[in-house]
Amino acid sequence: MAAVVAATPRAGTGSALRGSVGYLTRRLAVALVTVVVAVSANFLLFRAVPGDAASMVKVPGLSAAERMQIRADFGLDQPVGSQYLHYLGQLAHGNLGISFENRKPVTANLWQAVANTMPMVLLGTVFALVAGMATGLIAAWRRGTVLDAGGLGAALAFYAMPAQWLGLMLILLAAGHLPSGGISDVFLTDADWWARTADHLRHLLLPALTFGLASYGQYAVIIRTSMLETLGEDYVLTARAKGFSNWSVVRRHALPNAMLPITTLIAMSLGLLVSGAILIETVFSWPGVGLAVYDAVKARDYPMLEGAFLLLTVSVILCNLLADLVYLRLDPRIRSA
Amino acid sequence: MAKGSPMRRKLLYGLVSVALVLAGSACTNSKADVRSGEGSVLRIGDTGSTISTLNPFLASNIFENAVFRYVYPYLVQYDTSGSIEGDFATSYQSTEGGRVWTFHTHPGATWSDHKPLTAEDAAWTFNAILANKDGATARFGSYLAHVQSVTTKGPNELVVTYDKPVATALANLSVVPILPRAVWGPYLSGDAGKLSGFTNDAPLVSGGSFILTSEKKDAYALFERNPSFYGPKPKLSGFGFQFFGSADAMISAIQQGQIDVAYDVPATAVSTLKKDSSLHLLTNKGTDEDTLIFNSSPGQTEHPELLDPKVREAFHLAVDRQKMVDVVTLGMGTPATSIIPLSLQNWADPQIGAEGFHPDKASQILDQLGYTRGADGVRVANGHPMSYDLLEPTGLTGHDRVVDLLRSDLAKIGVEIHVRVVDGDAFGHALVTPSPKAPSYDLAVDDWISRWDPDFMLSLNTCGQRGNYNEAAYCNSHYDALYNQQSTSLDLAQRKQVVDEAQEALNRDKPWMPLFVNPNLIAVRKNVHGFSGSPFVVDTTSRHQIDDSWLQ
Amino acid sequence: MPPPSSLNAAKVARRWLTWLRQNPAALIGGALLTAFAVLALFGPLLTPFGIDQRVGPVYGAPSPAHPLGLDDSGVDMLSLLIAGTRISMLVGFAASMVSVLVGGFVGVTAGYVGGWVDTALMRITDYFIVIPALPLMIVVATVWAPSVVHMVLIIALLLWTSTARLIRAQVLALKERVSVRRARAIGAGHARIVLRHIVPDIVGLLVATTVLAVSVAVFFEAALSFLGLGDPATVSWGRLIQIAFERTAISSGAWWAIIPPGLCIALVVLGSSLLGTAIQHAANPKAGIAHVSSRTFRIRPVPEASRD
Repeated sequence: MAAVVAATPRAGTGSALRGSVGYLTRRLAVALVTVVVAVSANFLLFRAVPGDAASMVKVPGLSAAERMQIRADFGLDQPVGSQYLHYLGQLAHGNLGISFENRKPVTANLWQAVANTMPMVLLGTVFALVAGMATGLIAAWRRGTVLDAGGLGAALAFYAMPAQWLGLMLILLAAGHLPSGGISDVFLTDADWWARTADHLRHLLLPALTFGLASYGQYAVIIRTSMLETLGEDYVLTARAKGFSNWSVVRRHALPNAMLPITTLIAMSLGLLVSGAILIETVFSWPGVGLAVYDAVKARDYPMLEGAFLLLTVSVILCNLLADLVYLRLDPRIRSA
Repeated sequence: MAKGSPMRRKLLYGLVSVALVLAGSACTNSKADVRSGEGSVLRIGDTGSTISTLNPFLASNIFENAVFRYVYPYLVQYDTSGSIEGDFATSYQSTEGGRVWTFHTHPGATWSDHKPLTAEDAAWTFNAILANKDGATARFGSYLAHVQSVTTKGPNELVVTYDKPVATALANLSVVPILPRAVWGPYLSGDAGKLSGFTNDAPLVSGGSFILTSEKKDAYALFERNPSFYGPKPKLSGFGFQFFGSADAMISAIQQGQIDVAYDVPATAVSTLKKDSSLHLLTNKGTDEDTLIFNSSPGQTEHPELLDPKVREAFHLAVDRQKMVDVVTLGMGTPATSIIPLSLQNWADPQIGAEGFHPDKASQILDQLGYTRGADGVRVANGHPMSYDLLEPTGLTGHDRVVDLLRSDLAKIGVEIHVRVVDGDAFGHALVTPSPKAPSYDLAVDDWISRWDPDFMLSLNTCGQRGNYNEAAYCNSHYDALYNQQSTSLDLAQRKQVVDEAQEALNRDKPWMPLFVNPNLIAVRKNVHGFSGSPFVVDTTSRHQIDDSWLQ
Repeated sequence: MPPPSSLNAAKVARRWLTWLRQNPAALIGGALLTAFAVLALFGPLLTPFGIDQRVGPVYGAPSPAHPLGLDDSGVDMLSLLIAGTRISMLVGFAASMVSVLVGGFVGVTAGYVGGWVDTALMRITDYFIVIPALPLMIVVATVWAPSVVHMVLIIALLLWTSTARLIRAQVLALKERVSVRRARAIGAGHARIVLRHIVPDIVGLLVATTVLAVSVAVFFEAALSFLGLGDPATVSWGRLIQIAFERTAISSGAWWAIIPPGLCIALVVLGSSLLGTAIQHAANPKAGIAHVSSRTFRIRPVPEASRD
């Protein structure tokens, strides 16, 4: 970060500050509007789906009177307008309703699901970053050689593979030495902490690896391009003329410059990871957010779906905002825009 | 490269240690400690089923029934050869020609919460069911059909009086759990209005051989031996079900030793498992039957030709059941033409419905009805193309392949099928909306697991089961009469005759069109002893399957 | 490379061919896409066996007669793969074209008309961008009976947004061009201006986006089919992977039921990414790197190009 600031001229402080505040407010306003649109569209989406939500409450042999009662309980007999206000009111209290499936609060279900997905995605992102950086660095450093073409080619090839297929391939390759389903061994209730952690890690390995392999391609491409751009700059030439070693040049100048697009990429990717997660979680029966959404759709569990969609949409908006903030912070060029 | 700064070195060490941990954990032996002898836990895996509810009045899945079998006392149960024996009742006899049954229950029994468990609990449960048998407790109401009164003579004697002798008395009583009043009292009193909202979460107060200690939907159910159990003490200290999202994961788990028993092994995995020397493969001609279901209610106004028995006969003749058996079960199953599967040898009749595979005759029938083919090959009936929606539940044994084969067989006679895959729970629901008497679908496929006594399978198509298990919403008074007759025919030969007649009646009307029976394949590790396979996927007819097992 | 506004088709073709020769990535991408397109077109003529025809045991191993083995119903895998090419490519191209048409229309309208129309369209676009794509598709696909047409529409429903933003940014820049302003000053009608001055200059971008969108569409088709939401009556690569998963191909050791369909998807995605990126570079060298973020199901340019 220091290298970036030092390398580019600072704009006038007064206008820069005003410029960046203006930029920030605009992005914030856009984000807020999008959140409102998302909440409302969410509400409408799940009222517009055919099939009365109450009819989906899974209790066989309900009499007509009991169904009316359930409709009243869920507020489905009110006009849409007051349902909407009620929905907003509940949201303000952080109440996302009760799941049809297991009769537990949606927030609790989602919380558990997110807690399950996070380790897999985080470890996968770590894999992706490490592999991406290594590939990008080597490809840029040895530009034009077999290492460049090969590394980039491999990165693009993995990126092109469907996540679910990649998961199945890894299961094939693991040839039964690693568990291919579930989050842990449910029977290890008496085992000590070490055994249970090791068990969790064993179950985590394949899904996280799938996630990492499937997503490292974009990091590799970005690092490579950014490295190539930076390595061509004058100050790099100066540094090398001054006697700095190759690696220190990379470390002090090229890598920090690559951080900008990488960070924005990560921020934006985190917001959108669910799509890839659904497929991987289905292959590995991983009870995370992706599988929760999928199961909720199949089971017509509308409160759960509403809550999940809201959570995902809002987190994407927040992450994009975060990406904008990071961009603002790291790239002074747009501060004066 | 660079000698590196301290930070770089720390990062490097960090990465290396993480890598070592991961590598080390990958090599760690994953077997849970298997303690031999008295304290050992049997780990059972399954795929395709799940426990959605622990409320017996809402349950329908066979694993839910398995939970109840091990956790709650039952008056009687089956032994491993299909005959009735006592469970909570140590002895029983019938008088007045089978109209009055007296049960002597275990004295001095208690629930796991140390409250006394007596014949009075049984009486209370049965009476509570009877009080709302057409309403909230309908699920068990049919098993107490014809019961006039349930009384006790002291804490250890139960008297069940019927209004007429019933042949299926013991068979039906063997599936009604005795519930702890302390827990269920508030939900079964009055009109039982709150019953359907009661989730009955684990841990459960138990009177059976095991206590359900924890349960997580779609994940697992864990049991511990019940020290207060009135019957013979199981050798296992506990067992558990683990539900796998995919069969591959389950098979990989049993091969890695993560589980000891795997139910619902798919036929395609048999050859791989046979090569594994640490496993036994138990194979049984099963009772899990896949059937095609026709909407048989007066609500079927959109496609009335589907109500015509001749059209259904055409469907019956057009389906290549042997091909289904070969493709879906790799030849290990059997074709089925009646709802009583052939594995129930005492009651099944291979002649019923055995009209064979004759697609040309099927086409002829449709031709004669005047349903000519359109330009796209699809016949037109009553002014619309013979193009129907077929509902398939997820978790259907055999999955999409069954439906694929069905679709291509029917396409050959000019009938088009559109498949809609629906979640299991939503499937059950779609079959009773908008109303239990007039469901809104055309066709559905489902699989049903029979019981030792044919009464259960026959009951599914009675008028009284509409809105409950009667997936075709079929109602025919002649059939109901036959059903009642067989349940009250005490003479075995006579009853068999009536059961045959009932099957013939169903074969004529075909609300259900049986397809084939899945084999029952269970993989068992060699260190598991005393575990007997059964024609049912998991044996819910008695406690024997798990109570009699032990681990070496 | 200047956009092909010249009317001489032969000259244009020659120019593109030279470009292809000089650009190995585009060449590989183009070759892959063409190969699969040909396979899709002539598929039914090339399948050695029928796809309903059982020719051997369940999961029969590869043999000289059946180089890719048999699937779980004894049908020749190679025939299934070729038959699947048709549906997968059809869905891929159709969805991408629909999405680019819609996105292009929205982008041109928003960019050209400006004002509140622009703001409204952009807010709608923003919403579609942030809504989780695959979950929304799953919801719609579950409610709507599965069919190929529905799948194309569902995928296009969410794919149009990236095109819209890209095109809008381009149109905004083009609007200020001297030629456009001159035409407005003369009093030319809006339609004429759009068609004569704006559209020709965004054709390159549109083509690039179409090709890039193919990769995302094929990805989505595979995803929806894998989740059981595809048309069960049709064979597509995604469906082949789904069947292999459900019918325990792994436990049966039938790797030939899993590897080929996924490989085909990967090749098409790779091909269209390579070709699409190359075309985009050629059409608009200053647009910076656009990379197909298939994992997150968006075509994402570097942040600058999408800023308003």
